[in-house]
Amino acid sequence: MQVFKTYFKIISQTRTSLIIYYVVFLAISVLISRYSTQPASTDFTESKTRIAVINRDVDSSVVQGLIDFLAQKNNIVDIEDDAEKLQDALFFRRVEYIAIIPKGFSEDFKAGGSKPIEKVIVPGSTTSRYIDMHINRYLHTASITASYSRLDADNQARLVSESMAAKAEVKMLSKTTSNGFIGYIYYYNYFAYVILAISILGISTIMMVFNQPDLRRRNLCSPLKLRSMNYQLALGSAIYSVACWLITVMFGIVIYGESLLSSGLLPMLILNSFVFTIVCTSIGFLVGVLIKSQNVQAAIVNVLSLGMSFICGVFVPQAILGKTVLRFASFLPAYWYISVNNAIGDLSYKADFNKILIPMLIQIGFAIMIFSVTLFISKQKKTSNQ
Amino acid sequence: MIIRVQNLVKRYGDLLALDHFGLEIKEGEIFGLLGPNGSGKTTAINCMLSLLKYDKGTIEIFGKPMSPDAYDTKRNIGVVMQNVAVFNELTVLENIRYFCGLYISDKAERSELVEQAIDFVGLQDFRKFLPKKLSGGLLRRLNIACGIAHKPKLIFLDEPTVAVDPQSRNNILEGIQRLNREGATIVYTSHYMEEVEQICSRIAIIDKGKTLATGTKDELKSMIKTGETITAEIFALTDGDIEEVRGLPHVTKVTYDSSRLRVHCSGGKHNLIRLLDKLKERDISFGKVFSEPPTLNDVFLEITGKELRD
Repeated sequence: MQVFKTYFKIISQTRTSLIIYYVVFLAISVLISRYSTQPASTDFTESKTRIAVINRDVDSSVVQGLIDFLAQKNNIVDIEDDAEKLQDALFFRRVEYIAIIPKGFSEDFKAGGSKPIEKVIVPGSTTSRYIDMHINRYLHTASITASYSRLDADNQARLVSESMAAKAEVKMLSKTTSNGFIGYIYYYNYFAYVILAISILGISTIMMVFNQPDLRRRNLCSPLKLRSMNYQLALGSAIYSVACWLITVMFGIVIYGESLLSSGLLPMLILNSFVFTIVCTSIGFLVGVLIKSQNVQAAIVNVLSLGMSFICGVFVPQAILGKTVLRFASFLPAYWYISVNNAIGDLSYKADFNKILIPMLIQIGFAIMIFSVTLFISKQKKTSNQ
Repeated sequence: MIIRVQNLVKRYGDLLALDHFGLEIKEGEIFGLLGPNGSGKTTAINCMLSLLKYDKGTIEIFGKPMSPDAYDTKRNIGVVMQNVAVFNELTVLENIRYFCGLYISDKAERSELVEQAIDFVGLQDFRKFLPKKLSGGLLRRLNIACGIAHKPKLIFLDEPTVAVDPQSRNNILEGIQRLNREGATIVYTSHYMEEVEQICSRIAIIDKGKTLATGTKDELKSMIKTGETITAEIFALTDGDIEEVRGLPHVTKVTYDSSRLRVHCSGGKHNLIRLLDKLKERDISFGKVFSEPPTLNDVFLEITGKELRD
């Protein structure tokens, strides 16, 4: 077991950098999972401004419709049409906006004119902009309706009111699962990035040492069978990955404590993360066989871990990602890992075990495939043509 | 025969690296593969070690066909690569222990062999040093220790003295001769003819992937017309004097430059005495006079028409 022993001697030589990486990853994962689950204001409540509407015109349909519309969007305060009282109302902030409908406005509007509605506002008021927008929107809609419909004035006003009442439906995606155990699901999602990065980094570092051309050729000159060498390297890699997995899992238990332990979901989260760790081990093994320089290693670690995390739903929930992205992501193991985590989060009310079992099997399939490719490449390199 | 290579052909695309290369190495020899850089020495060794696929030919080591899976054969082979092949992350002791451990499973035996290897290369004071802390010469010694720690019957040394200071080089060469005295057969490649002449019992001169000549150094030198070269310091020499020297028996070429007369002979005996007699006869005074026997470079030059270190 010379190779196996040497594997851990080399790890111990590079342990400082690996530990720094790992601590940083864990800290980030905790920060992100905690930050992502902070209760945030997600409800939309329309604020209403206190305004006064002074109608110096007749009570026409368009004027009444405008007043009704403004009343829906704002709080209308009754103030007598007296210059001093109006100024007092503004000065004492009883209202922030006074709209004055001038005499002859209705007739002018009907004739297609552009007689403006006068306004008096509190100096520097920002909300007055919104009132301007409300008035403009209403008058614009009323103008278009008048131009293109043959209805009488009352029906036009009704039609305008209906149009103005139309609202776009806003659906707020729930950021919590049905169980409300959002924090550790986030943690386990983020686990994908941590274990991908740390496995590829650690395993490929060791594999690169053993795959240095001169050392590799020297080993091939010995009676050590290639199969034995690969087994020892794989065993070393597996132990390294399992240790990383174990630390991450224990860390999660320490951080989330009772809520995680009492959820009943922990065994499945652990199982899924273990399966994904096997996949990451195989990826690290493959990367170590293929690459030769540390610069390439750093690039590959970042591209694989960050790239896979972004498109598979580690950083951005899968529900938000586009269909094309998800279709592409489904060719990557991290996608299935996150799918299982999401399914575990929804388990209590859906109880669809197929959504957990099948993606886990797919992950195992990925691991077997990647290991096989690695062993094939390794065997091909045994006796080279160059 | 320890090694028998026949009709070995190896191509790198259009380049013919080994052109029906062949050699036979007997037990107990220090066999030198001598040739310029790019002549095919390392390619030949890599093919013999099954590190490289070849297009044609047969290779037998210890009487058995050599293949990547010939693990029993590999168990008796030691390899010292041209480039130092050690773990930079392991100490001197750990490196030797690792490579020895690939061959020897018994822990006690391994420990003893590792200690012997450390003593052999003189790295006792550097056991706990990482390779990056060693000088070039010490690193080469570590490389050798890793290759020979398991006491192999056959050792391949591929240019082990490249970029090594003269003192370390002498240590390495003495060590190789000691290994041979202890029973190991050595295959030694180099483009330094002095080293090959110094330690090898038989030599194959190779160029462009072909074995041009094989034999002991005396046998190789006897194959060529070139004999000794006599050099004399003479301050004044006329054209007539030079013509007289040129007329002496066995003289093939005479040059006179910077007060140095160089007389090339094609074998024969008493060439120096005849030259001195001629100088005395013509009353020519001279300073230092010396005679150099033909070198392997002369052999290579005569066979290929170019210098060994071109």
